[in-house]
Amino acid sequence: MLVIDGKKVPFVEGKTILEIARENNIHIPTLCAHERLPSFGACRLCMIKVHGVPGFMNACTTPAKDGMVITTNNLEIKKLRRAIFELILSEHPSSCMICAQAEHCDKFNSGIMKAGVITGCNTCPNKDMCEVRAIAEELNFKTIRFPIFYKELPIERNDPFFDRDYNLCIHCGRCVRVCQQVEGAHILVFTKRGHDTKIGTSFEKPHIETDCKFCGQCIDVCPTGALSARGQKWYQEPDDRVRTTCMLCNKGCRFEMDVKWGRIVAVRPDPDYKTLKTGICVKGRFCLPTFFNAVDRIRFPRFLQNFKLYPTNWDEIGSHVAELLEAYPPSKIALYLTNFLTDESDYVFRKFAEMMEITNIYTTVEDLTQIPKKGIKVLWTTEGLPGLKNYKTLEHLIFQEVFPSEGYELADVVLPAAAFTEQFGTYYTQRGPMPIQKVVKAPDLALEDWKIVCKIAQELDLGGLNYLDVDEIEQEMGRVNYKQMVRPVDEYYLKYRGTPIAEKVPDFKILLEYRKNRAKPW
Amino acid sequence: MYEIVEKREEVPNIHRLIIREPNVAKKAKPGQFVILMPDEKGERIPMSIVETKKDTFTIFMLELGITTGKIANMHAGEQLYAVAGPLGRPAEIEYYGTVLLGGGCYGIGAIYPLAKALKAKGNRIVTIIEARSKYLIYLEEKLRAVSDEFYIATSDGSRGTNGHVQTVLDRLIKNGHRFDHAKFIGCTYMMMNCSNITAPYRIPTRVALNTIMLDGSGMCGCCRVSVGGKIKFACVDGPEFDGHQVDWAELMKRKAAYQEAEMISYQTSPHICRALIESYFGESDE
Repeated sequence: MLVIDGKKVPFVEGKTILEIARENNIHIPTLCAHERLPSFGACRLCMIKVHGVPGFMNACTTPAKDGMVITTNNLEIKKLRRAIFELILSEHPSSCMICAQAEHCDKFNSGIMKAGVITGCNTCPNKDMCEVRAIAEELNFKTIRFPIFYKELPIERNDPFFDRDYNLCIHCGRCVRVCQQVEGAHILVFTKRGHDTKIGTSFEKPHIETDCKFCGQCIDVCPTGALSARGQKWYQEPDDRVRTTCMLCNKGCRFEMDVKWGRIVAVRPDPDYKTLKTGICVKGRFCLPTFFNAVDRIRFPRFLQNFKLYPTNWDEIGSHVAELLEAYPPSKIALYLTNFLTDESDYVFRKFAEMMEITNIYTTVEDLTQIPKKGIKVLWTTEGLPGLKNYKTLEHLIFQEVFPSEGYELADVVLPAAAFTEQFGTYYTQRGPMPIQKVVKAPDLALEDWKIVCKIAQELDLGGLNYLDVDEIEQEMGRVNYKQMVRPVDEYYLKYRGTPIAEKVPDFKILLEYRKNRAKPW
Repeated sequence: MYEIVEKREEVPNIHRLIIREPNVAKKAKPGQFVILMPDEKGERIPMSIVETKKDTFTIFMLELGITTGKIANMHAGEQLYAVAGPLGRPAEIEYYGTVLLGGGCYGIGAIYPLAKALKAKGNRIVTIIEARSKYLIYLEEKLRAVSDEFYIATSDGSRGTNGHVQTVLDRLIKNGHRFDHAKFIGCTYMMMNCSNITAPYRIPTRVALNTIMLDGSGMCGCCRVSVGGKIKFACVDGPEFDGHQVDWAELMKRKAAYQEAEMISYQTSPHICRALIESYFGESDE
């Protein structure tokens, strides 16, 4: 049993005072402590008084002992805490926190200023989630008695994906700890000594030259705006936060996405997903929003007429495709199923093929060599494929994709598919079946792959392919005992469907090209 | 193409650029501006002309987004894609008596040519500049040289008065200072606050509005502002307007119109210093 602020709380062997206090909803302000990281005792804000022990102790580094009587907040502690925080603030661009106009300015000013160098909260991308700011508000700071010191460090923008402004750094060491002890990467270290202490890489090399994996965990734990993802800031408060599973490979990483203006604006690892020890990879963490927000997404169904792909609606394209499929015997039709279909879409496609008696189902590029052998005339592909123009027997190409990737120029029917962040479903991964959540709406007329199949099946008067939602498909898959396999898409696969990720994400291209001689780019 | 003759980051985010363009240099008058484009895909950013020499002119640019970020990452000797100017009406420069000049951010630079011209007309110049903190003050010596009284305000109190231009202004007026004319250049919020201070004392107030602009010749209407209930174009009718008649709320709303596009543009533009990209691909890894 412990007594914290007069409240009796149960003693747990091996836990720190801070951990026990937090478990019992007793608030102690901290900046360096983080639930995923080992204690460090850098910021000294969690100063507490243990009765019978002279002086003050850190709640975050002091192991709890049975019978301790602890005070977390009294006048003396408050005075000490304010002084410590005031010292931190005097070296952190804090003019906006103590500005007399702050409230009025927030109300009137037209959003955050997207400055290069952060000189106050109104130029800081971290404003809305800043922990330093939260503590300034908690301690009700209005003035700083100490001289203001600006470190004048150059901002570091020489790496893909993230900007670093160490003038904001409060040396809490969270980024160093997450890099060393969680990720095991040891890229970020404390460099220099004493007052000149700074976070950086060894020899201050750009991260791209080190073994940095660009997992972005340092950004996620930074309590200030010192570390920020270049393409994932300035959106202030998100409208929504949605958790889903990544479908860029078969690992099944979970992440949380910030949504604003109906678009994905930021990605971070799912904070609640306990099995996820390390971060998500550079593709998921940094490339995803840029990739799916790219302007050249396929947005409308189109069909070829007078050598041009004309945009149309789903009714018209549905009957157009149905006519096309009816004109050929099933043995002359082939389906190419991409590894990036959700389990439900995959099932619906295969059921459709079975009903149509289409037996030519391809899943790899090698399968395409059967096209001339079997004299395939219609290919319905769900991803852009290389070398299609070499198959002279092909008369029609139905191109169902997210982007106009390889083979698009040969298509005579284009069907706009929703990306995996734009649909519900399941994806069978190394971790087993993982849920896919709809994060944002698909652009314009783009639809989930299974819905596209259902639309065309309706035009073909095929019964049994008229689902309301993915749950219905899932139940049917359970009934027929449909077995899904882990797709052969590994962590370092560089495409989503037929589109190389680097093609839409310039920073990723820089990373790949710069590290092209390495066995693994990250 | 227009050469950047000189470029320096005076204080964090504020870049001083000297650009070679003899026509602008020859014709620019105090209060006029140019529109710059770093490359053919850049936005068009209006910037006040601060000084002119034989065939060059100087601007102070505040880095505040992707396009100004691109310019901030350019070096002396590089070429801007486009420079249009001088644009806008010159500021009203007459003999008023005592003139108050208020500047913040890029406005500290932008009020300098006005101070110089007004001083030359025989006015008594009282200059107040504001910054978030002491390390963001620039051009102090030059401004002091053309001012009869000079005040500094910082929002964290690290230098001069703790507060803003309006804090100093309010104090001066209450202490019996009299002003016959006032001009403010800075962020919209600052100009609004200052105009609200001078309004009850009926001090004629001019503000230089920094709206979104495209062509700068009155065709597109991007820069429209309501002044005294009438629609005006900041590029051809301004940039100087009566601060007491500007519809500030509407102006701020209009300025935030492209926030989404501005944020999303960061997703696709590698903002990396171009010299570094060249060094990346110039030599091989390992």
